[in-house]
Amino acid sequence: MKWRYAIGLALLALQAVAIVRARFADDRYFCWAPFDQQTQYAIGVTIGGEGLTEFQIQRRYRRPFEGVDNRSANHIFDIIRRAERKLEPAGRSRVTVVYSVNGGQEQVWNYPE
Amino acid sequence: MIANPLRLSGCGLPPQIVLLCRLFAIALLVSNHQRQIQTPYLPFIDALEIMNADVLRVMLVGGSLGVLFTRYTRLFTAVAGASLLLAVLSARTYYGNNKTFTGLMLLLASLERESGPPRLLQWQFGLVYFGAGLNKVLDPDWQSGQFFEHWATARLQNPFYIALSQNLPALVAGKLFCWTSIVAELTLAALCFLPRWRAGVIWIGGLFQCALLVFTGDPFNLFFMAMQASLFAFVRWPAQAIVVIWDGSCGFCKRTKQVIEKLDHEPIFEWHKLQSGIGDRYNLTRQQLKQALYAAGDGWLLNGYSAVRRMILHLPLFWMTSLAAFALCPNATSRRIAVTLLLLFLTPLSNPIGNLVYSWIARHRHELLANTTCELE
Repeated sequence: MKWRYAIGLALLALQAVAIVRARFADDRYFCWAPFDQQTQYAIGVTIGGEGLTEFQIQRRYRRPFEGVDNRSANHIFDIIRRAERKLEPAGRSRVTVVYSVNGGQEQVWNYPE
Repeated sequence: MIANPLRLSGCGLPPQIVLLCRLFAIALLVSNHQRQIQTPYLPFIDALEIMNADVLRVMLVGGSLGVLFTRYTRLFTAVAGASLLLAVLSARTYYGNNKTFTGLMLLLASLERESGPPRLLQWQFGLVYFGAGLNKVLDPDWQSGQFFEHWATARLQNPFYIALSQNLPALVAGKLFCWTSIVAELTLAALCFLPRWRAGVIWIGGLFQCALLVFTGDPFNLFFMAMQASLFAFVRWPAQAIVVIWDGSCGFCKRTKQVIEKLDHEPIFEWHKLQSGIGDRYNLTRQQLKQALYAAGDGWLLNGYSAVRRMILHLPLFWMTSLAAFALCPNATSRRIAVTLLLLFLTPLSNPIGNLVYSWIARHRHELLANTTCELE
């Protein structure tokens, strides 16, 4: 069936677009970059000045509050950014991520940016 | 509606694609993957926030079971693939390359043509390697070797790599491993789009993934199993039966034939006794045929251990049990052992032992199961 094949080709074309898009975007979703980065990170969160526990952070972002992610560090930032916009639209949350990529120098990312 | 999972024909897709889909289904079921599916959270498409995780789990398990036990492979493959892709798209926290790849392969399999080369699956496989290779070759940490140096020493603490790295100038081992990966991935990507190089994709892709698993001990969730199963998209399944020439005067051979026939549900093997004179078709003398079993397919003729191995490779049960056994491996060591044993069997490295064992059995075949009635004696 030609229409079935056309759907398949469209799915492949979308991925080709995602691969090209990844050259110009920080987040690397759907561009087939498995295990391209090792990001060691630790997340700290305060809401209205009160710190969240490790368990609360894990529930909030559905990932350990610290550890190693096998993908781009931007995936962590993206999840935090979106979660905070959804859970704390009033902007009372302050998030700090201390991270290093591939064993490199330690860096800090803050939300709000 | 119910179908024998070991029978690949009559499912509306080429046999090797039905096998590919069933291997994916086994990987999903045996690894209990449905437990990883999350309730929607921070979806890629806002409208998917209404998805129900339990519905996705039921779709995944039901689809996988349908692929295994019914003839509606196309339908159930689409259901299983769609459930994985919806799960990925509805929760950023569930997103992963291995899940996306598995979902896409299943969905694309359901869109493939009934006959002819499965180009959609082959191109999907090629796109993954192209994307992976391109990302790596443009990444400064991959160019310098820093990625592998950090990963293999600090994360994996791989003793082989550490020893090598210490005996070489700084980052040379890292560069070697990084660039080997990049070259392998980009080569695979190119070969996937060249129909003549199907065998190259199978060997390079299979060995590359196995080497990665032996090095890390990590299957990366579904990734190793999905990648290995995907190689069936490059396999040319025999269009005609494989002719097997066996010794009809031997009780052990007869019993072995009966066992293989029970596992061969197509049937893919066409059995001929050496006494039938079939050897003339292949210019084989009676003396040659008495020394070893022969198997002949489209353009190939093998005997002894090599023939037995080729026959085993055409049994879906072999691949299904191998994959299930791998999925059940509890730790890195058992996974490394399982993959090494499989590689030994699949490559000529096992020929010396295989030939030795085969020769011994062939010489003593009339003594094994000696009380079995022989048809011609």
